[in-house]
Amino acid sequence: MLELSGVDKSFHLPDTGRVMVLNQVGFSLEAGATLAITGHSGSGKTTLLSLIAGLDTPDAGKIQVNGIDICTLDEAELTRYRAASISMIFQSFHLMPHLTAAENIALPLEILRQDRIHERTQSLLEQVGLTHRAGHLPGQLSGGECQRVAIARALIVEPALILADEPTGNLDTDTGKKVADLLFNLVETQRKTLVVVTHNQDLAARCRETKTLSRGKLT
Amino acid sequence: MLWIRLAFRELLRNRGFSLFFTANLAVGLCGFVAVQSFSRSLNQHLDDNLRNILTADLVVTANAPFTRPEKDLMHQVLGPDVQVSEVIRFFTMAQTRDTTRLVQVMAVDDTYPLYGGFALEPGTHRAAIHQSPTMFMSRDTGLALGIGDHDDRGEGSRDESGRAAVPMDNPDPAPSRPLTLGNTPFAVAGFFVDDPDKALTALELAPKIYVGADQLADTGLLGFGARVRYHIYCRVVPGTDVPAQAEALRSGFADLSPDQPRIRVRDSRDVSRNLSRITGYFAGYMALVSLVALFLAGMAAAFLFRGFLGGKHKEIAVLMSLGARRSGVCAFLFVQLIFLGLLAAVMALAGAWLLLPAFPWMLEGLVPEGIVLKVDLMTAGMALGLGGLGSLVFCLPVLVNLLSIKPLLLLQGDAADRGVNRWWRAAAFLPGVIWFCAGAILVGGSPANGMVFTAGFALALLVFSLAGWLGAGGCRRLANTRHLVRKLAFLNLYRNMGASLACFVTIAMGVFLISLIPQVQKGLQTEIQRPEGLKIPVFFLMDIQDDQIEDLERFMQEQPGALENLSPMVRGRILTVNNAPFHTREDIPESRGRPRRTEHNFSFRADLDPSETIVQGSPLSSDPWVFGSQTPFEISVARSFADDHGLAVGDVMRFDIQGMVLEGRIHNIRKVRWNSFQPNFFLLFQSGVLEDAPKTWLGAVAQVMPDRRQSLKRAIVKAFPNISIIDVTQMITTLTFIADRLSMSVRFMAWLAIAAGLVSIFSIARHQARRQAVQTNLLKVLGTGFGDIRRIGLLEFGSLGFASALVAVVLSAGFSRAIAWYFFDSLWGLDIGYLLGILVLTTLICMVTAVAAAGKILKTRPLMLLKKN
Repeated sequence: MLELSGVDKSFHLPDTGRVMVLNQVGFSLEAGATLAITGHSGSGKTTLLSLIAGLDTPDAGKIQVNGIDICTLDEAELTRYRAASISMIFQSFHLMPHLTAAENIALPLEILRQDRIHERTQSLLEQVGLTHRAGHLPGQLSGGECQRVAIARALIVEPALILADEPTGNLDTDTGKKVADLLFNLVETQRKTLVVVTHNQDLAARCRETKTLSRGKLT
Repeated sequence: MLWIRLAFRELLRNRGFSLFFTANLAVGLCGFVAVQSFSRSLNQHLDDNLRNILTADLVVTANAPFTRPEKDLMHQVLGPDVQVSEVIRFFTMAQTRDTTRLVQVMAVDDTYPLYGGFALEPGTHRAAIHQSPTMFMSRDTGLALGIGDHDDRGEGSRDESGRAAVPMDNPDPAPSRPLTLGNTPFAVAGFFVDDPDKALTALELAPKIYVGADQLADTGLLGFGARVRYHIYCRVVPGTDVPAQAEALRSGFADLSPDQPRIRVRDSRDVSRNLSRITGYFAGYMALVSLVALFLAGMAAAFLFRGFLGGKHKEIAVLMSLGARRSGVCAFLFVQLIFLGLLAAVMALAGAWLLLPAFPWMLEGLVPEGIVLKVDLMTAGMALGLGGLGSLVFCLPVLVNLLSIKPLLLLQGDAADRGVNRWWRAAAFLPGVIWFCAGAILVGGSPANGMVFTAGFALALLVFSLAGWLGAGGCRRLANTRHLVRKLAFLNLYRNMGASLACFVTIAMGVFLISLIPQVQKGLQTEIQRPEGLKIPVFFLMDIQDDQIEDLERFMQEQPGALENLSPMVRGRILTVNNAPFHTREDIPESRGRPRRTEHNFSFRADLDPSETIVQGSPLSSDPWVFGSQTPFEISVARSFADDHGLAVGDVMRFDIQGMVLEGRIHNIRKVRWNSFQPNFFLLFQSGVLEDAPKTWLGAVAQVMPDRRQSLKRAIVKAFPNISIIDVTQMITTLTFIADRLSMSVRFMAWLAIAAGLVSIFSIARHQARRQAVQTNLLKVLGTGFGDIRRIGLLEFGSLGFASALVAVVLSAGFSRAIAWYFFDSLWGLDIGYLLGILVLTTLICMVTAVAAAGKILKTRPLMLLKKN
C-alpha cells in the first residue's frame, strides 16, 4: 500500500551548511497496517511524514502509494491525492476556529463536493462520542474533544492512509490514552493504514510495527 | 457556495477587522464619491440648461455696433426664421440720492430673453423699460443703491396696495427719477427675483440693472472709448445644427475682415465650458485630493488585511491539507474583500449624500443657482466598482503571500515559509499603480495632468518613505537608553518598521495636503491686501475722455484724494508678429483654449510704475520715435502676455492703430504686479507713437479716508458722469472671498484625507497594540505600572505624529514656495501660526488615537491576557 525506497532529504542551513535529514530511507506497509516512527527531536520524523503526505518532495528516492509514485505528481494532482487518499491528524488539532465541530468534520466532504454530508457527519460524531457537542466551536471544546473532532475529520473522507503527527502530544496522559483508544479502534474497524510520528512510547507500542529514525537512517 | 459561506462566517466572526476595514475604505471613498457627484450634477445642470443659461442658441458679440453687412451675413447664414435679440452691456456708475456705485448695465430690446425669462416681483412690468427711462434690478442691488422703499422708486410707482412698481404699461407722466446713468435720470420700475442671465455671482464685478436699449441714446455713455459690448442673441429653428451654424458665422465674419477679426461667436457649449471652468478646476483638484484620501485609506486597508491574513496562514494551510485548491482559497478571500469593498462603497454613498449639501455653501457664488446635487446611478455604480475592485487591488500585494502558504506549514511551522518570489511581489503592486494612474487621469481631466499628479504623488511618497526610514534609524539610537518608557517606545517604532512607515507616510501625506493650500492662499491674500512696496489706490478710474483730463486734475485738487498715475489708453489691433498673422498663428497654441484676441489697449509712459520691473532687455528710449521713420518703434511687453503668445525681445510686431499701420520691435519684457490695481498694460510703446491717436485715460485715486470715499465717488460721478469708478477695496473683498471659498473647498477635502488617515492610524495602532499584547502583558506581569505602559504608547505615537507632521509641514512650505514662484510670481507668505497649530494638533490626535486604539489591551488584567495567549 505504501512503499518508500532510497528516500533522501537534506536542508541547507545558513550556519552549518547542508544537513542530511533522511538518508536512503525505505520501508513498505500493507493495507491496514499501523506503523509508529519514533526518534529524538530533530531526527527527521516530521520531515518523513510531510514527504509521505506529498507536502514536500524528496531529493532522491521513490514514495509509492497504491502503486503511484507521488514524487512525479504535479501540484494539482498532489492536491487531489491529499484530498482523496490521505488524511492527517496534527498535534495542534488545526481546526477551523469559526466552524462548529460538525462543520469542521464535514469540511473535507464539502471541499470534495461529496453527497450525504450530514448523514456521514452525524455518524462520525457518534463514533467519536461528540454528538452533544456538534454545535460547539473549537474554542468551546476541550483539547481531547478537539482532537476527537480532528480524528473524525480525518476519517470522513475514508482515506486509505492516515498520517498522525504526535496526535496525543498536546493532551494530558488520561485524555491522550482515551484519544489513542478511539483512534486505534476506528483504524482497526475501518481497516485503515496508519503512520504515527510520536515520542510517546505507549502510543508507539500500540502499533503493529515501530521504526526509529536516527541520524537520517530508519531502523 | 462553500467558499462564500465560509467567507461570510469568518467576516462575522472577525467583526473588528470587518468594521475597521470597511470604515477605512468608506471614509476614503466618501470624498471621491461626493466630488464626482458634485461634478456630474454640475455638468448635468449645465447640459440641461444650456440654452437657458445663454438665453439663446448662439450669441454674436462685438465691441462696436454691428455693421449692415455683418447683420446681413447673420441672416444669410441663420436663415429667415431666426429670432434675434440685441443687448448692449457695459459698466458705468449709477448715482442715487445717497450713493454712487459701479453697475453693469444690460440694455435689452423687447424680445430679450429668447429662452428663459424674468421672475419679477408683483407689479413690475417688463415692457415699461422700453417706454421711458426706467430700469429694474434685484432687491439686493436696490438696497446697495439705497433704493429700498417705495419713495425711492419714484412718484407714481406705487399701485393701490402701495407696494407695486411703476405701472409701466402706463408710465407716470412725470415720475421722480432717483437713479442717474450718465446724463439721464432713470426711474425704478421694480425688482426682479431672478433674471435670465446666469453668470456666476461671485465673479461679477458689479450688479446688473436692466434698461431698455432704446433709452441709452441720451445717457452719453456710448461715446468714444467706452467699453461697451454689443450682443446679438439668436434663436434658431429646432433641429438646426447650432455648432455648424456658429462655425459658418465665424468663417463668414473672418472673410468680411480677414486681418481684423472683431466679432466673437459663442454657442451654448462655449458658455457651458466657461461656467464650469472655475468650478471644474477646483472640483478636479478636490477630486485629486480625494484620490489621495482614497489611496491612504487603501494603504491602511491593506495593512489591516495583512494582519488579518497573517493570522489565517494556518487555517489556509489546513484547508489546503484537506484538499482545497489554492484557487478555492483565493476565491474565499476575494469574496471577503469584494464584499467589504462593496459595503464600504454603500457607506461612502450614504456619506457623500450627506456631504453634498456642503458644496454649494463652500462654493457660494461659484456654482449656478438652482443646481440640484444628487448621487446619480453612474456615480453609485462607479463607487461600487471602486469599492469592490479597489479593495482587491489595494490588498493584492498582501494577497500574493498566499503563494507562499503550504500545508507543510502545519508540520514545520514558519520554517516552511519560503517567501514569495520578488517579481511576483513587485507585480502585485502593478494593478494598484495602474488603478491610481487611471483615477488621476480621469479626475485630472487629461493624461498629462494625471501623470504629473501621479508623478508628484509618487515623489511625495518617496520623500516621506525616505524620511520615515531615516527616522526609524534615529529611533534605534534613541532607544539606546536605560529609561524604560523611551527605550520601549522607540524600539517599538524601530522593530515594527513596516507599520511605523505606513503610519508615517499616511499622516505626512494628510498634513502635507492640509498645509499646502493655505500657504499658497496666505501669500496671495497678503499680496492682494497689502502688496509689499506698493500703495493700493482706493478708486480705479476708467473711461476718462481726453478732453476731461485738465478738468479732472483741477477738480481733484480740491478733493480729499490724490489723482495718480493718469495713463493714456489707445485701442488697436495686433496684425502680425514677425510677419505671421497674429490671430491665426499656429506655432503658438491659443492661451488656455481661449480664442486669441487681436484688439488690445496700448499705452505709453515716461517712467515705469513701481509695480513694473524689467526682467529682460533695457528700458525704452526716452527720445520720442520719429513718426514715419523706417525704424520700428520700441515696445515693452508684460511677461505674462509674452509667455502666453510666445513673444521675445527682438520680435517685430505690426499694429493697426485706428486705421494706421505701424511697426514696432520688442525692446524689453517686464514683470507686472497686477495686484497693484494701478493702470497697467500688456504693451507699452515708445513715446512719440500714440500721442496723437484718439485715446481715453485711466487713473487711480489714493489717500482718501474711509469716511470721505462715498462722497468723493459721488462728486466725481456728478462732475464727470461718463467716468466709471471701481472701488478697489470692494474688489479686494470680493477677490479675498473667492480665494477663501476655493481654499475652503480644497481644505475640506484635505481634512477628509486626514480623516481617512486617522482611521488608518487608529486601525494600525489597534493592530500594533494587539500584536504587542504579549509584550504589554509581560510588562504588567513584571510589575510595570499602567501609567508607564500608557506613556510608552503616547511617546511612540506622539513622536511618530510629530515627526511625520514636521516633515510634511516643511515639505509643504517648500512646495508652496515653488508653486508661488511658478504660478504666482513668487507671491508667498509663511503662516507660522497655522503650521505650528497643525503640528501640535497632529501630534495630539495621534496620541489620543493610539491610546484609544490600545485602550482595551491596556485595561485588560494580565491574567486574562495570559489565558488568551
